[in-house]
Amino acid sequence: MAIEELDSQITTGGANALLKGASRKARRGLSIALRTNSGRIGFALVAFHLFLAIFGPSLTPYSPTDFTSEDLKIRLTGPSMEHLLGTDGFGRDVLSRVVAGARSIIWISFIGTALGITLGTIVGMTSGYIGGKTDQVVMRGVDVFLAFPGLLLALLVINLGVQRIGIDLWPSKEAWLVIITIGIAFMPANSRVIRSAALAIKPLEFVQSARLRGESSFYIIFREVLPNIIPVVAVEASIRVSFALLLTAGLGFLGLGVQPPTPDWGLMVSENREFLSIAPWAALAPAMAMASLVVGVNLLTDGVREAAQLPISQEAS
Amino acid sequence: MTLLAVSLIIFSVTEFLPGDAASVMLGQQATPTVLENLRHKMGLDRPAYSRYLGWIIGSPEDEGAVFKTNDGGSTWKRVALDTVTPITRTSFDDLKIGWAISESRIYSTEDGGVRWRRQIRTEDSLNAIAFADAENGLVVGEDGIVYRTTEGGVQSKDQGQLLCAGSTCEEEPLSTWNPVESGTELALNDVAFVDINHAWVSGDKGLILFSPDGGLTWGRRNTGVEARLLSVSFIGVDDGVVVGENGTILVTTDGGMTWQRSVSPTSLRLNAVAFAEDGTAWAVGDEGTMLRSRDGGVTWTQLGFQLPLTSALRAVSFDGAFGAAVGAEGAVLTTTDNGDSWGRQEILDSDDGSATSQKVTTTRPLNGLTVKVSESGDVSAWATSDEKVWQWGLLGGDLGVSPRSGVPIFKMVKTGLRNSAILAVVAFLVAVPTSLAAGVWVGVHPDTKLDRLLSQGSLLTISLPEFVTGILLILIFSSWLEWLPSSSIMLPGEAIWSRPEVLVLPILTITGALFAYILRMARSNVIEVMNSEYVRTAILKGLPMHRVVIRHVLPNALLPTITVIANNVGWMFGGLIIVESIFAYPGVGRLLLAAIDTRDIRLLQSTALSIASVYAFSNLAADLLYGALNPRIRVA
Repeated sequence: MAIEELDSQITTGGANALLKGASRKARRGLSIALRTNSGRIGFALVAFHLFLAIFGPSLTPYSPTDFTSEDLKIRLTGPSMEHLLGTDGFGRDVLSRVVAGARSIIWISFIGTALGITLGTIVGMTSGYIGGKTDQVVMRGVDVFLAFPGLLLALLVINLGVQRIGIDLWPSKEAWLVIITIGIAFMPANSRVIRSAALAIKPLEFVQSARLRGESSFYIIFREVLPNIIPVVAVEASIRVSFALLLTAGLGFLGLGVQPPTPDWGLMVSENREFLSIAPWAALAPAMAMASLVVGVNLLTDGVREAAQLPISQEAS
Repeated sequence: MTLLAVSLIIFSVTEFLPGDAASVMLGQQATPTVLENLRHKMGLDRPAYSRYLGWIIGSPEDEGAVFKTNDGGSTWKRVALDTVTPITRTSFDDLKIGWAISESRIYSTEDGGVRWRRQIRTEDSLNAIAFADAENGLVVGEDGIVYRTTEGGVQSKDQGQLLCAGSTCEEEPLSTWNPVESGTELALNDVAFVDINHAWVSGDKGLILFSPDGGLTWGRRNTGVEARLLSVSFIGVDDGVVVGENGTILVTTDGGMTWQRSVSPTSLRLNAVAFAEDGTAWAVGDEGTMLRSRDGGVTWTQLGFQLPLTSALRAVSFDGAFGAAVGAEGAVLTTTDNGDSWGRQEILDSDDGSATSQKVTTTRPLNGLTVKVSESGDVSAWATSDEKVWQWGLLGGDLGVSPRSGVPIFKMVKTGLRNSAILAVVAFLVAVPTSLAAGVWVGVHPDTKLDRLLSQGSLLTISLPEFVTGILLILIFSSWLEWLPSSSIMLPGEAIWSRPEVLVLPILTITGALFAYILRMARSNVIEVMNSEYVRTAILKGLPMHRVVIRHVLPNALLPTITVIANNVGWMFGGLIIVESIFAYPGVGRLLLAAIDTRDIRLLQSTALSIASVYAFSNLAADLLYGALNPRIRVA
């Protein structure tokens, strides 16, 4: 008993060291990433958007959602000193809406990515470690999921969910459904990558010795395998974030994400599309905000990848 | 295999789409009857597994119809289009008031059979209906089932129960049909109801039942035959004839107390019997058999027809001197002189009952017939068909008809796929060669000005969601320059090729992202290969640069790039949904969105499956292509 405890303490310590190593590596990776031009620009852009996401709603000069009958009189006016980016179809300040809109897309995409990566990592590791028939069945299932283009899956899931779920969730059902969709959409591809990483770890000595010690599969998967594939997980996550942003924005554009009047960039573009010829700023501003965010994420990802010395072609997985 | 699983997932996800799809589709104006009808059409009253099998393989669909003539059989019009299940038998009191049975339901009409109202939905399979007058009616069915009414089937209208669907309510009249003990479990095939007291029923195994009190109590009569007796008819309360299988004919002259077997000129099955005004009895049967008896059914002669008729005659009906007989393959014969001469009529069948659609002589099997002559001599006749047709599913290339638009889904999906494919293929043909060439060029010459321009430009492009690219293009080329239309809305039936200018902006949008993506792949792969030792060796060996690139770099660098391209086929179908939505382009993506909006589940399922299939096949093609190009994983 005592020996077992000791054993597990040792391995826990070992795992912690590995984890620390991994986080150190990640920190070093970020600093290397910041040495490249693209990494620096990307980091600045992402940091700016994160700042907006956190503090944006309290910085806006006008309410991003409410409008009065006074506002309606100034609908679709061009940029001016009072309204730097003009007003939209309801006379709301476009700048305020763009600034406030950073929050929903960022938290939805980030949490969605985190969910997808977590699910994919758990499925991939477990399937890869256990192997055999279980592995085959799981990977068949993954193949089936891979047969759905992400957007198709999203359309099906969100439509199913919006009316099935009776309870109100904060901040909205749609937001959580988009998160779940992103999670489901990213899980299969991610689990494949993680599985191959886990397969590479499985025959290594420390895993085998843990096995001979009689550790449970659960323990080995989370304490021995996981810490060693953290870099792979990190790169996966950084690649997927930009996909998640694009998917979230696309769903917003189709009217399936966050619902009005919440400011959402995709939704704003679609709302103001009809005024494109008379008031292009109302649709252009959120579009540009969207573009700068994704460009920032992509630049940062490029930097991270350069730091990790992974070729771009990894993206194809 | 994967596709099967995909179809199952799509089916179950969409199947459990919330809300009653039928009521969502019909919106607020739905009456319960219309709703029930639609639910039946959409198969919502069937279990889910049966709907799934129906979608993939196929299922028997009701193809029934009621045809009505008002001019003695010269022209027929299709009526009763709104009943849930096809009407099988009718019974009319005059030219307007009538009743009908349809599988397990009883309907009534007040406008001569154009619109029908459900009176009761039973649990039983009903075979025949007869009314003695406007109040007293009998319905018989399988397993000895008898229903009886003395109030025309329903109570007076204002006592009905309100049935609501959405915001509209419909009065469901209180049924006065009551089951009656018949004393038998055998199937009852036909009923004759001469006046409000005397009723006879013929059934399986030579069964004949008689009721002296309007159907309240029944007594069995001995016939001495075992054949299925398919039809019974009486003229007056004493003289009656029953016919059945094996040419069986039974006749009575004492109100059905005793039955004598007549000498039959045929051994074929006789399906129906009826009396004409002058007392002649008519029996019809298989292979076009038609028998006549001038002595109340004792002796029969077979009529040879000048009209060759080989298919079975299923029903015969007389009112006064006017009579008609109908049968399989849409055969209709009519007579106006007690059957001395018969003429062949044709029923023109148009699916929607309108005169404009293509007219085809019906070949539906007609199984039931009622003729009625009014006091002023107007003749109406109703012929019914309860045909079941095997409706192929996906495997037969038939996805059914969209309940919302009435257009075959297969055709909608095919048009959508074709339009989307035009977008995708053109975008591919434009993007792939140019981006590959550009990618290889900048890969071989990295860090030049062109390389930096293209790399940064492509990074920006792939960072833009399709809708942003699309909006920008609309703004530039449509709003400002006014060169190109901003939407691709097509008139129905218009070919997408007839206005190629509507294709330009959608194709540009897709091409942009594709170009940037492939360019980045190609560039990074080429750079990677250029740094490899074997390329360095080749260069140091003194090979000319173009030779190094073509022989050594390209085969290795293009391999992963091609995989990416192939994977993009499926990705494009996802991106197409958004692009098609921006430009209102009539492709498969917009079809999908429209199906979701309108809750058209069958359309949604088929569209989703077609997109997923294209995606799966393009992934498979990518794998095969990869295998073909890469000698290392080529299967021997």
